[in-house]
Amino acid sequence: MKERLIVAIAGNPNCGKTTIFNAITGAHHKVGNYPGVTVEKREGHCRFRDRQLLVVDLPGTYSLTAYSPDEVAARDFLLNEKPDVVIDVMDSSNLERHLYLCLQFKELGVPVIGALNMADEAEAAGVQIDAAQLSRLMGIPLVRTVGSQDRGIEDLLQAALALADAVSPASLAEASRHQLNYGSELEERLAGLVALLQADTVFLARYPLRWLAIKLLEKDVDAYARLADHLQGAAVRRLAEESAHWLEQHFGRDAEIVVSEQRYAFVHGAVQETVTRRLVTRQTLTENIDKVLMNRLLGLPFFLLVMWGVFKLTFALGEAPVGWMDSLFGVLGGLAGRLLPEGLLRSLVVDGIIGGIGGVFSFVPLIIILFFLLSILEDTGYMARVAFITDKFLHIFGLHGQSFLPMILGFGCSVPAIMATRTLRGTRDRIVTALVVPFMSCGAKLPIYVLLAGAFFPANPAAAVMAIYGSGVALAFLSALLFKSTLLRGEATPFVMELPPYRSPTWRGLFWHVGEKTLTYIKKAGTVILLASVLIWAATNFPALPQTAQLKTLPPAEQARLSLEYSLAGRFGRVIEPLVRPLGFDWRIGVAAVTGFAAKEIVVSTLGVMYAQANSDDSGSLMGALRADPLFSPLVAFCLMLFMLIIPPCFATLATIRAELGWKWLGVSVAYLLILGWLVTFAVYNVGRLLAWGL
Amino acid sequence: MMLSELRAFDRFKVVSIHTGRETGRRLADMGFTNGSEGTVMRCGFLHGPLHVCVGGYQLLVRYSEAAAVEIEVLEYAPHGSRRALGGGQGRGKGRPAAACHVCEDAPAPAGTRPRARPRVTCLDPDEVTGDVQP
Repeated sequence: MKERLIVAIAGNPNCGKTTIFNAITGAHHKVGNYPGVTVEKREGHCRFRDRQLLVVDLPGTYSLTAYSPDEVAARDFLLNEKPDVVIDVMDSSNLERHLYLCLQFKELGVPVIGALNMADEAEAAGVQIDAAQLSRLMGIPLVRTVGSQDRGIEDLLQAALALADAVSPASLAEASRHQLNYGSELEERLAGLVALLQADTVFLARYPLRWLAIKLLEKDVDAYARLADHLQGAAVRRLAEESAHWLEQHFGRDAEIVVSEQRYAFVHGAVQETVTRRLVTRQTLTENIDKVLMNRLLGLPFFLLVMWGVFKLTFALGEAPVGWMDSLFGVLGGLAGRLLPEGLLRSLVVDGIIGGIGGVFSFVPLIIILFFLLSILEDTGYMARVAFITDKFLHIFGLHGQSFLPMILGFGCSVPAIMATRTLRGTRDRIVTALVVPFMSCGAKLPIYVLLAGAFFPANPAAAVMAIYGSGVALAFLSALLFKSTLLRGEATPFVMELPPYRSPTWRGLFWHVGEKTLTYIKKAGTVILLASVLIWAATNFPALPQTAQLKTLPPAEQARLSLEYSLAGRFGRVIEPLVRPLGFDWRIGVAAVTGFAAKEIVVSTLGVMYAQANSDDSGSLMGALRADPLFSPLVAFCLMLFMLIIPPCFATLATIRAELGWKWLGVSVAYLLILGWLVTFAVYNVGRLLAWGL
Repeated sequence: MMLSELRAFDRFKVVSIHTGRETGRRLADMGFTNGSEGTVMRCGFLHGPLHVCVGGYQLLVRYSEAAAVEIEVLEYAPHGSRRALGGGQGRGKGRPAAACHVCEDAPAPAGTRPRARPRVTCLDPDEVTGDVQP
């Protein structure tokens, strides 16, 4: 009897898997990623009958193919970690697709136990399951559970442990003989493959060979890749390809589909024999709601209304907590300022570190509220309906129906928007969506637009700002199209997705969602932003301007301007001036753009310092100063807004892109945005000058 | 006939899937397999996605994906519930009982043979133990 057991929880999405996981582990769990992919991995510990259990929540999947990172993560875990028992959570009210997945778990040669979850809902809907007979047909123990009420969890764990303890090489070998029979044509081919695979004893020990043979018939790329280590890999590959080809000739359809049809045929039969359903269980409520929310005319306006409400509510509710955060860090800064002697250290602590952390934390209330509201939309099942409404339009540009939400979120803040791309299943869809999110003007860019539009388009500042937002959206769609036809070319990811029934969200579920996302934000963005703020602080303060007597006679605003000019950032601005000159800008705008990497709203305060406006919050006087500068014209102001829209976003966003997509895509994103930003601004500036627009 | 040619509330039975690789596999995994029955619930605007109920599951499929699923029509929706042009969301009074579970249990329409009850053999008769908790 093992003291420490690994229990994996697996199953379809939306079957209450996470509820069962939470019911087993309580509050003791941590969230990470599977190695190599950003598929979330939850792990928890619990003690049961004096045994230590490590419970792993596998990603919810419908199948175990090599097509999506979730499914690969799930099956690699089962193959490599060899958990002592797998709990397959199934929705009792509609078993077929769950049993289909269950057959695939069994083929992987791991001990499986089924949890007939949501047993109460199923009974209420008039579904009766002959569990004993179903258990016999499937060859696995089954336990009824109601995860949301913690019912049946004890029984489930007890049965799971009993199963894990009964496992022995003999029982596994026995189980591997009793697998689904795929019919004589397939079985013959499988037997041939298994015989050839057996020749390599290392393989025999490492993989369930029947499973590998089935995967080879399914033309699974991952299974073929594994053959590289096989002694007779080439021969197996040849035989597998021949067999799959023969099957396709024989059945007249794709080999993969033949295999899955055989599985479904068994499942259909098993369900017919064991499940009785009282006639007519119309889900009229869900249908009636869908009639409105998925209506071809009302659906989209309703969605836009909901998103508008989410933003309004987020900023309305968030205003006060953001203010508290700001004043908290103001107080901390003041305290540190009083404790530390005047000088560099004080400046570092107050302006660099506390200012930087304050910048991160002031967003936290907004993130919590935003994710709370979005989790409600997600958990109720509304987000899948949004995909139905928006997919047609987005698909034209190579995006996916589910890309819409992250893009809309981008208007608030790119950080949660890029984190929200996790809901997309296809890797390429996810990357494209994350890459175009920065084009959606975030809240921090608005102050820049307001300043410039107010100063140079006094007749109609709102139209100028709208034009910039619109340009961003257009660039997002065009860039998506560009990425999809170059770097991320390939077959469109299938859209096929499930429409979950409407459910009321649970407090526990909302709490976990929000908690996890917030922690991820603080950890990932927080560390990098802190570092970046310190770097930007150093760049704007070093080297320090020599303190001469003449300098001291100047007003403080003038002193600040001179010291910024003298600093590394100022010098950098001078160095890159030749680059921004063709865009109609001078070195000061270069410096502002560079400091904007810390946070976009800093651009405004940098311009304030540059134009020696002591009180940079007073945008009225800064507007006047900008208008008085001969460099600026409405055209240049518009170009500057465009430039700020396109050039790479703040460090927090870049850090999030790195965390979600890796260094390579961060590099692609930064290079693309820099080049595109320069080219677009250059084009607009020069065409505008030729046509004498707004000079 | 292909699934994409149907309109709201038409009932169908899947014959086969005419695409391979990821799309075909996804369709098969989600329950579009030989013999499974379903109902089109609604069609999106301008060949947008279809909302289909197959074997008790509510699914969304793109028009282009539906165009790869060969089906056999079991029953066309009554006239009043179909729109004259395009695949509309059927409106009108003659709405049929198209709720999802009904598509499984409704009596087979005239002209279709009753489904033969498939024979099922146990996967593992020896392993059945007393673990089942009723």
